[in-house]
Amino acid sequence: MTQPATNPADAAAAFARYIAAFNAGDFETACSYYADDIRLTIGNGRELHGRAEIVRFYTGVRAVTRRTINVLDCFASETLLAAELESEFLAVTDVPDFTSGPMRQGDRMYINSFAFYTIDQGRFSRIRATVFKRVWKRLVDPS
Amino acid sequence: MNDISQRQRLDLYVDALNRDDLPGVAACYAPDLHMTDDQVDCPSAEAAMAFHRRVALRPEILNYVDRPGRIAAEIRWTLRVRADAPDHPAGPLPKGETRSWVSFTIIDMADGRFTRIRSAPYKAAP
Repeated sequence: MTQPATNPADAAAAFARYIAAFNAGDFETACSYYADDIRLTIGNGRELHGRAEIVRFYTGVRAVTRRTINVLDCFASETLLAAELESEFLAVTDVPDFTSGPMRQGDRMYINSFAFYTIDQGRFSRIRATVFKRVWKRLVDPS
Repeated sequence: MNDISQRQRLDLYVDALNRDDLPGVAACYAPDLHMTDDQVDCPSAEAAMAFHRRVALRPEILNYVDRPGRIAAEIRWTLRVRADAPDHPAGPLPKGETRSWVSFTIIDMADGRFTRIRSAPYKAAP
């Protein structure tokens, strides 16, 4: 199954599979959860329209960071899924223009976020995320 | 306190805030409530009520979903400052100032009362 569960009781398992695909960079599977007119708003307010823009954006993120998303909690109705997530980004190169702020190679950033996923005919049509807590773990400069 | 649904409890809370019914607001809070967002950190119900006495909050629920013991809600808030608050954590607030924002809020509940309220500001149009 590569789409959101229509039964709220199955939502957590389906969502875990979605996040696992996202963590693995398996965007083909991740995109199978999206409606054709998917809109995704990331924590800083930037909105991504459509599967192609989402894949382009996160392909770029994966090129400069190692990102792991953990699902802390997830529950749903038939039309809305709420999730509490924690993400850690590890910069694998210097990223002066990273979306959350400049990162140097080796820096880590931890984000605790709340997100709502609007479900339309069994697929995510809108994803909106907020940042509850952001913690930077800067690599100490050896010099 | 736990003979009503979580949604009913949240609706009562919203209604109490919108009517400035502070005893009604307090009735929704467990004594060990922890209420926090990006600007305010109230480590107890007493601290939260002190906050409510300084500012009037007018919430509107935009989206809601829950599971036993936890609510997730998208809420539009309007804040009006009741009296000068020079020591507000996010900066001084003059009497009469109003602010409006949308938050994603997660509320933990036990025995029909709120034990933890965590809000994060939503930075795009709802």
